[in-house]
Amino acid sequence: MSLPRLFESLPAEPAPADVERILQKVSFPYVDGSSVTFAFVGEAEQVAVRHWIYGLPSSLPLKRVEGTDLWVLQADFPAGSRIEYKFGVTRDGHEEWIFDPLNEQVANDPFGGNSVTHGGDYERPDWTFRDPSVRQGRIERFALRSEALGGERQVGVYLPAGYRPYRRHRLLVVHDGEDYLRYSQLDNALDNLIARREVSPLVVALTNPVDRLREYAHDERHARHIVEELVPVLEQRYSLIPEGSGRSLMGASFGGVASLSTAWLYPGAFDSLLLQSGSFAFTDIGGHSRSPVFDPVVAFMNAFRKAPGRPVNRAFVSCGMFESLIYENRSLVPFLQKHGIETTYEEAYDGHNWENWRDRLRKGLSRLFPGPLWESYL
Amino acid sequence: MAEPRDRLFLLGPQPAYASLIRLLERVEVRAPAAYTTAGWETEEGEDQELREAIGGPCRNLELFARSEHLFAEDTELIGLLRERQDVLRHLRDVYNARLGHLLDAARELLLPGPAGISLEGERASAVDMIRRLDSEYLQRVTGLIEDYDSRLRLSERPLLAAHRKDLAEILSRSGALLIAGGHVAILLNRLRLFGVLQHVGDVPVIAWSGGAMALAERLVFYHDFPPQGKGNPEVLRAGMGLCGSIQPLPEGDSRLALEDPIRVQLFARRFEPFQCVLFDEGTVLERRAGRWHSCGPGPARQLGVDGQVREFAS
Repeated sequence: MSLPRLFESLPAEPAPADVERILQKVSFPYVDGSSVTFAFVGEAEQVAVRHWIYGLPSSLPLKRVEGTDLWVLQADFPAGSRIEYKFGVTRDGHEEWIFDPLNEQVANDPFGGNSVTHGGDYERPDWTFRDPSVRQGRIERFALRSEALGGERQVGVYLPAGYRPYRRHRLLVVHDGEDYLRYSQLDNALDNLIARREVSPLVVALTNPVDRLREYAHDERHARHIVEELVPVLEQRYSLIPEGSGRSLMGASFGGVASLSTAWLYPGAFDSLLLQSGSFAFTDIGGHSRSPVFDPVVAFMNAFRKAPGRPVNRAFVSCGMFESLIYENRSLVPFLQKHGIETTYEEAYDGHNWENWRDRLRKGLSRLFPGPLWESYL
Repeated sequence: MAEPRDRLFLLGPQPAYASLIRLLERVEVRAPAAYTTAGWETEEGEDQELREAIGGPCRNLELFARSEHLFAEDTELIGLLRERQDVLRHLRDVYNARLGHLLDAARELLLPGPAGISLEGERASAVDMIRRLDSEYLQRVTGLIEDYDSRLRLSERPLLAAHRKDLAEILSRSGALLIAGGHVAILLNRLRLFGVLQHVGDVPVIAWSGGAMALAERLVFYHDFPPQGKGNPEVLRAGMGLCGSIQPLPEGDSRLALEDPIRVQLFARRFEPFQCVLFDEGTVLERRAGRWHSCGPGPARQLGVDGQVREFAS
């Protein structure tokens, strides 16, 4: 029986057993094409879906089914959407944000994660899972003393399964590298896509900030650390193409800003950029309305837009259509193209989160580091 | 184009080695078979299934491992090969940039035009421009490889000479040579580097998928559905030149938009007089008594200049 018919079948004065009957027959959130029905069972003054979809009210209230402690909300989302959310449950005048107790699907992130549902035909890409038949790369870790930033930095280096010291490899420097491993399964993506020959076997440096919002918001010291401290050490330790044409930068959110800023401060040091949901806030006139941490970002983006030069040859840009940054990312694409940077863009019905960035890795990596699939006929 | 050798067998991909097993049941192999899986690169040695499919005594030539050993020891050689690779890569970029424009133009012209106006002349000219570019590029790359070959002084390198001698001995005692697919350029480079085919006598040569492509007059790469967007079929370089007029297209059924008559037509017209033969899983072509014979369970297929996929005609 469909969900609407189940609800219609409720008696005028439903008993708890009637609610239980629905919960046993249907799993929530209930997805039917573009329609998603959320459900919550429990005593509360209010229950709402709290989400991060730019353009919708940030709180979507669930409605109590009269006479029961069942709360429901039906909402429409475009096919292929991924929606991260929590329930805001208000009791005694106090709202608490919780995971959806009826939904086992959870997306992890540095802030504790969210429940996840999807509209229509979204499926997690198979290449994001660990495949036991695929040879895994290995990750080496070491500490690097930084004069530019002060103190020591922990660096991880992913070496592909086919790494050979006498072959030259491309280098990808990733901002928030450990988070990319933990929340976007970057290692699975690399192992699988390299094994499928869609991505060339590349060396990936996983860098990690200490004071992220300062270092990544166009900080010259960060750029100096990457280019003058990290890259030379990597070139010494590993077999890399020892020139800008073999190097790339990648990052999400403020990590995207750090990537673009580093390339801009050191034109020619990198060949390409993989930018995911970059926090590329800018103003054409006047101030900005974002948080003060964006002040240096806006100053940088405004300066970049005035004098972009041609810091790299190629770029891959992605952004979620549920993000407040969609306008900035969309407008960056023709801007880069106009200034001679071969740019590919992908967007999806998703938000500012690590699983969105995970799902876009195949397009981005295979675009910037095409593997020998083209040359391979097994 | 050179006449193809007799006792040459070209097969499609062998995920379960079904066609290969059937073929080996009827082809007489009088001595241990030699085989190469160099196209599998670092997985060259993971060949247990293949050994089981061959069934009888056999030996992996280990061309990839030999080349890795050679490159690790002979730094001058690897240096020159890297230099050559950089130049080839640059030439390839330039070729692909030019090719993209010419293919776009030809595809547009091949669309149905207004009634009553014949565009056949323009179409033929557009295709001819692509053919000339392919030919010019192939000539340039061949010349460059020859130049580097003379700089590499391959015959004077002791370690390489030792490998070649060892391989010549193995091949002289072998009853067949089997060539698996994989990374075609890597496979081809190793076949050339070690002069493998010079030492194969009149024994059967059986090559499948990318292995068949490596034996063609030239390598043509294609994939209409790569993850990074539609690709343009490109000529890479000259192959071993053993297949005569056959241009093998392994995995053609999954890589090519065969339902698109414009792409099919353009592919076939561009490479005429070569026959663009689809090598699917069951395809087997045998060169016997100066003729090609299709010996797979189903008929072999080729791309037609009219945009249709048709049965292979010997």
